[in-house]
Amino acid sequence: MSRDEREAEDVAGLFRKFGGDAKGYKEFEPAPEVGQPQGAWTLIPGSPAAPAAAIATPVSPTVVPEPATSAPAPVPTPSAPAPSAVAAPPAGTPRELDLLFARLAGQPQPAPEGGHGLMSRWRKPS
Amino acid sequence: MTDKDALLSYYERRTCSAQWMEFNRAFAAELSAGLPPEDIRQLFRRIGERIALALPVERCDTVEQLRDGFNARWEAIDWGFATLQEQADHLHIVHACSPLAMAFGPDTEDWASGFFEGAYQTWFAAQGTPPALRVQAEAAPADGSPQVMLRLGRLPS
Repeated sequence: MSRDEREAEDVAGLFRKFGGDAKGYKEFEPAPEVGQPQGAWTLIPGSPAAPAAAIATPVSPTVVPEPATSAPAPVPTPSAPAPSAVAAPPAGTPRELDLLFARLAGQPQPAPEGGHGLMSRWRKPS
Repeated sequence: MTDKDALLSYYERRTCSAQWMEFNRAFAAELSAGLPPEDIRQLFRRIGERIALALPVERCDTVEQLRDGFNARWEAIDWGFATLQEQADHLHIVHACSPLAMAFGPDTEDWASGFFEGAYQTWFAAQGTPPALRVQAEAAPADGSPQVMLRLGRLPS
């Protein structure tokens, strides 16, 4: 008995066992292969079936390349800033609080805006 | 005790609900029995830090703005209010009408004030204080006035 005959006999036996008609049985053809067979998960670098390029340059999960012609994706904006006790970075002008903190800490007082005190404009004798 | 202190004391008695007072006092008694005071103080300091992080104060320019920012946060959770007063070498902080003394009992002031050290230190740090400046609680007033005294200044060398 050839292999095909044996398989056909197995199918007929199954149909006999469960009360069906084996004449209507049709075997699916395997799908035509596209590209390389997926023998293993190629996303895992170093796996036997992983392509060499994937090993050399692992895909970063945060970088998603986009076609140059596509419109830029909208940047998600948070609806409300996360609560934080950290205040905004200091502006150029020292605050009254900065002067107080510096004095209490024994540090030199922060210069006023632009450093243009009265003496900075005083004309020096030539 | 002045009339003002009597008023503060009156309001302070109403800052902790009857629902939680016995629980809190038993909790404080267990803490006191099980841990050295400095450890409990450190625990309360960290709780204060968490509260301050949860209730951030926006960047302020003046002492008055900062005081108002603090008090807006305290007001929101019914935790009394603070006054700030500049001194030559420190900023004096007086916190009144907090529920801590009533909630945990009069014998816990030594470590319960660590809560305010943590909260104010975190808020001041967010305003840009140099690392040399620390918030430290001062000894409780001898006249029994219901206030917590703290100071922002350099640590004594």
